[in-house]
Amino acid sequence: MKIRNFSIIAHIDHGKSTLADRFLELTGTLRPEDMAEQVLDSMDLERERGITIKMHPVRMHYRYQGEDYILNLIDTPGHVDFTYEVSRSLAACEGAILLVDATQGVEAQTIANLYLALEQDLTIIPVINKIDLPNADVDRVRQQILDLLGEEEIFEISAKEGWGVQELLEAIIEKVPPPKGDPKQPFKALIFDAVYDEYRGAIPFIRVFDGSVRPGDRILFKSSGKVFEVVEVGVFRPHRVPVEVLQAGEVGYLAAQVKEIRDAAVGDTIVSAQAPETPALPGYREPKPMVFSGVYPVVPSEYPLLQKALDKLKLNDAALTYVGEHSPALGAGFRVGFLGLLHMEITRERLRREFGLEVIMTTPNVEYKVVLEDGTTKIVDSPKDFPTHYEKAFEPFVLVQIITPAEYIGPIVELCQSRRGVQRTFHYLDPNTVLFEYELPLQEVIFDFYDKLKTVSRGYASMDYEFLEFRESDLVRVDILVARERVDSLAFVVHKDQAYRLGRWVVDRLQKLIPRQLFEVVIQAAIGKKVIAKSRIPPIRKDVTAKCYGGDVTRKRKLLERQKEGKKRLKKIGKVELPQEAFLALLTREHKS
Amino acid sequence: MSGKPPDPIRRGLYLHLPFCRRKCRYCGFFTLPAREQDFAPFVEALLREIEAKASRYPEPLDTVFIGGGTPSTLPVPHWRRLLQALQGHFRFREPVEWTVEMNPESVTPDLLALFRDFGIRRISLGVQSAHDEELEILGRIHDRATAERAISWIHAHGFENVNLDLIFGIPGQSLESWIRSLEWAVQQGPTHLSTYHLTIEKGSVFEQWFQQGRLTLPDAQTVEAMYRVREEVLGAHGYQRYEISNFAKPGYECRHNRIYWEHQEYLGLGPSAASFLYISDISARRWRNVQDLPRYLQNPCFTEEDESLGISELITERIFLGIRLREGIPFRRAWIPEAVQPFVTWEKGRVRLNQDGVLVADRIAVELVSALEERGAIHAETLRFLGRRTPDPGA
Repeated sequence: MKIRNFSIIAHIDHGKSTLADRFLELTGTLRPEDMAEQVLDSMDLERERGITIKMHPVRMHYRYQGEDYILNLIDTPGHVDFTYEVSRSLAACEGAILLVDATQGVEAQTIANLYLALEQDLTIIPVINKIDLPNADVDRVRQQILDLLGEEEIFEISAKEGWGVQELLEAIIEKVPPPKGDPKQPFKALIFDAVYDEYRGAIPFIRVFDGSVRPGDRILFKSSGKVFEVVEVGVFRPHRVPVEVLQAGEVGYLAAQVKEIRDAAVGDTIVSAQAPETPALPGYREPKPMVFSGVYPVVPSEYPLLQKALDKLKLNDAALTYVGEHSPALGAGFRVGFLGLLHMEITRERLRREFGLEVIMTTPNVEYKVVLEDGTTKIVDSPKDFPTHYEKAFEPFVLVQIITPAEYIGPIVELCQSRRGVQRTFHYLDPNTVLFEYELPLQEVIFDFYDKLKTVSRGYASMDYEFLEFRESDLVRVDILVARERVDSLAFVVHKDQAYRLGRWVVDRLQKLIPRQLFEVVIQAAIGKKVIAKSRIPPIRKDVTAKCYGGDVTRKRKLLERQKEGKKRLKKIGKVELPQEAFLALLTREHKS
Repeated sequence: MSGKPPDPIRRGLYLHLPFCRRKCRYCGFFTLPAREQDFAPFVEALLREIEAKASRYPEPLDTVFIGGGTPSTLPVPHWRRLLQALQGHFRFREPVEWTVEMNPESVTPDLLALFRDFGIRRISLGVQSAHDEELEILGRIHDRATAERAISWIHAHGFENVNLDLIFGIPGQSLESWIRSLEWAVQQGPTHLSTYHLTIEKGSVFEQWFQQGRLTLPDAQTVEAMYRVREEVLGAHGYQRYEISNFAKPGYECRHNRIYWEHQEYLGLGPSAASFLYISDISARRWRNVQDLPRYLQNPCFTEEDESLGISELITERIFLGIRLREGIPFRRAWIPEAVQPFVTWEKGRVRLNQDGVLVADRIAVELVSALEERGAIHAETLRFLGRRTPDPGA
């Protein structure tokens, strides 16, 4: 049978899942009675939010002009955090549908993924969806796509109504090239995804490039050098169905009693253990957390549960890293590394849904590389560990793509510049829509940049970013001292130029948040020994009941009991007490002026 | 069972006479306009309550305090029936301390003579200030001259044990004016002085004014100085502060009020009066009489608030009441929180407030209770430990 492997590139809500459902119907992959809306969305988290983080791959059969075709739809996760996974999924395909909402137009994230597809030399089939909607602006979107691709043939469909879907499916057969690959060569496959099964261990999802694989074969993972025996191979219909063999060009899964998900790393190459020298496919990279945050149970006694939950999540989330840490306000928790903010949010949701755990996540920070005075390099992922003295410091920079209606260019440029951004490109997608790129420090991007962007553009601008490199920066650690005690969890790393402003901001916030104590409390922001901002909270002057006789006792007692209960909720920094909510507001630093 | 604390327990009787000719602007107590026609039915109800409570709570009384309102507005014949009933129905443990609250304008030789006849030895007089402008602001209906005359009559009738009530922090009051009030009061030769910082009470006229922004109170620094200067002025004349707001010459501390601060028992009669009686050494009951005249007349034994107190409540009360007293409370030195240390002294197993501590007494109490709680010490042993007292100064 002939094979076509393809993917759909689309922004959230542009109709990817609906289109996939139509394909399933059209190819009879699922009987209508088995169809639940948007079958391929896997996690209920995704279904509930109506966003697809990643769909299951699916193998469809279709007869066209007297020939039988296997159509493998491999999805790409639709978010910047998973750029690497996107690139690996695309590497498993020969073609991609570029799906754009006729009412929304091209969005930044779509472009980022489109570029990835073009890098892989994929055949792109541009499609305008939702043409049934009254506010569809097909001409404008056509103009944007033309501008991006120079492609004249653009499909116009309504996945919801089924308009043009069959023509599109057939265009995939006609336009997307069949997979290359030699079934006679030694086995070689790419892992583009993996899931963890409690009974069968890690199950890699693979695209076979050369040779074939069947149960009983001994296979070798190139990155680890580990050898496993294949127990089962199969395809996605969309549920896993075992087959006898997977051959060059095919997409499927294999089970080989792989204990840990990190042994089935996305992007890794699997080869035959008989031919261990078979070269790996290019582009493998270890999953690397980019964003770090302190994660604490809301109920401190749930710390052991959180530990267990993270251990379990790690089994099917190779990108998650964590080590224990302690905060005076939050108690015992973990410093967790994430791919990005969405990954962080997904983790919070999974902890809630799968383990019933509510967690507090502190303001995220990036990882720094610091060359110390003795020449050694230190990786710092927690601000409190950032050294006071160093030779050079490096922070991650990203390339941010922003698409916005032209009228918001001014405030967006201002925002980017205030975040140490440097403009790289700028051009009009259509007369009213601008695409521009900025190089920005990742720290600035994860620190409420997206919210600010949405605010200044009234929600119209979209953005995406990709990692560029570590660049040297003039960074300092700002310590926060309360009553002369350094509060580790409030320390932060910033560019020197912003240290004073941010130090002052934190000190002022704390001054408002810390209630008066029996003694004067001094709050300081300091770089090393140098104090850069300072405030004082004067002590309580008077708190005494003048008249206290028989009739006053109950009321007075209740008042004191309330105060005492309130005090229980206070967290201690040294001998200073402050409400946890106050501390949290600062740790999660929700509103930066 | 080690018995009810302390050993022997003392019991006071408080009787509330709610009538006032005019309500003072700072007053948040339950009061009623002094109308002639209300006196007789009220006293009738009170007599019924006296009879009922005396038989229900027959233990002997160590002190009696008749307060208000303005008890001295009640005419002599009513007073006579009242005192006869009290002395006829209750039992007493000698020496009994009898106190009656009076306001200067209603002090009369007749009333004083009656009190003497019934063996009352202590008068508490609400003079509040030595300055007529301040008395006017407070809404008092007497002036300084009236107060001086009342005091001279009181002394002339052989009452040597006299308390004067004073208020500080009055709108517009200066530190100097407060010092002059204190000095004036000392010159009147009282044995006891109560000095209350003006509190904006719920339901008072001052509360309304305060919310409307019409009240200019002395600033925090001045009030602090007013608190501190009391000790200086009164100390120089031989008065010692034995509670946050109370000063006395040696041997003249008010035994009745000490009952409250020492967490002893009290029985309250009359509308709005509160009672507190132990059920065991680790539990107690507190209730308040109904605060409504018609309902009181209907049944003087109606209660409004009635609560049971367990170990935790009793410990909290023992701490915040006891810390108000000069001798403080029994407390382990090691358990005194660091933040509290500058405000207290510790000696012979007791923690007591120093001059600075007086100003933050409530906060100190919260800290001390929390310290016990953090150490898991909210239990019967702690309650008993806190119940250890110094002997009754008047006994």
